[in-house]
Amino acid sequence: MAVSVYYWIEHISTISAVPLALVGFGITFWQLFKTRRAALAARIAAENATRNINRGTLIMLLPQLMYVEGELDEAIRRRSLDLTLSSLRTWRSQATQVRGLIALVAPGDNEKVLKSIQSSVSAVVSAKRRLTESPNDDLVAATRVVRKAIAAVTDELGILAVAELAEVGGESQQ
Amino acid sequence: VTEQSDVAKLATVSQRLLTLTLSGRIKWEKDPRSEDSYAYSTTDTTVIIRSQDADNELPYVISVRDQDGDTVASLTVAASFSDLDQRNMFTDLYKAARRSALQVDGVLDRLIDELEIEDKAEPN
Repeated sequence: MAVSVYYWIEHISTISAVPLALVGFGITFWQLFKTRRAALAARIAAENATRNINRGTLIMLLPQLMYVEGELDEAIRRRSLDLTLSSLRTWRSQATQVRGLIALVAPGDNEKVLKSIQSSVSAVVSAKRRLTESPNDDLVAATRVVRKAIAAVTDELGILAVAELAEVGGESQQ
Repeated sequence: VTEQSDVAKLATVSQRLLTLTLSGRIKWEKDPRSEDSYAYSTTDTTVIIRSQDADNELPYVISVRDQDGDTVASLTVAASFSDLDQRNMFTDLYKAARRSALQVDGVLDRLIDELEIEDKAEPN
């Protein structure tokens, strides 16, 4: 079911995010133009459009993180140390990108999800170190904590994605 | 090599974490590095404390990671650590972090409650 939700999030965001941002730019510009000076109206409309494009990029990245979580599970199921380490590296990289976009889209408004991301990035570093130092450790046991940390992030981001999609839709209709 | 100024700052960080942990305002988590490694994360920093020999005893290693997961400061507190007060404080922090991550109080409280219910139940 979670995959299905992310599938639709990905497709809706791909289809709608940038066009909606551009439509939003036009509407915001027109509304503000009526009451304020043109330069100020253009600046505010541009800021809104930039935020919506960042929001669309963030929404598109979220299913990729979900996919990495699935790849990690599959690597562990196959008992593949190399694939497990590769998935952990990918998670660290993409989670860092998502953190940056969250800071742009909703600064100061997502403490819980940012803490989850930080916790997962650190857990990935620890898990990689453990697996590198003790490559014969049982993969399931050695990754239990990091998988829990990653699952906490995807849960939090799922909630965030729904909220941000609603924001994109809401602003484009204003 | 740990700079002396880093030691002082890590001691300050640890003292504040100890206070917050003992008052229950922050919760630690298990860290995947080993069975005796515990982590606390803010939005862009993680503090890890672990027993170096994985025996819950000194030496303890406390380290701070940045938002990319890179270690920016680290300190090993061994039995020979010169400042006795600080050594005791780091020891207290390790024990408090462990109790928080393993939810020792919650587990024991639930066990006591269950045993009380068993005690009051009619024998079969």
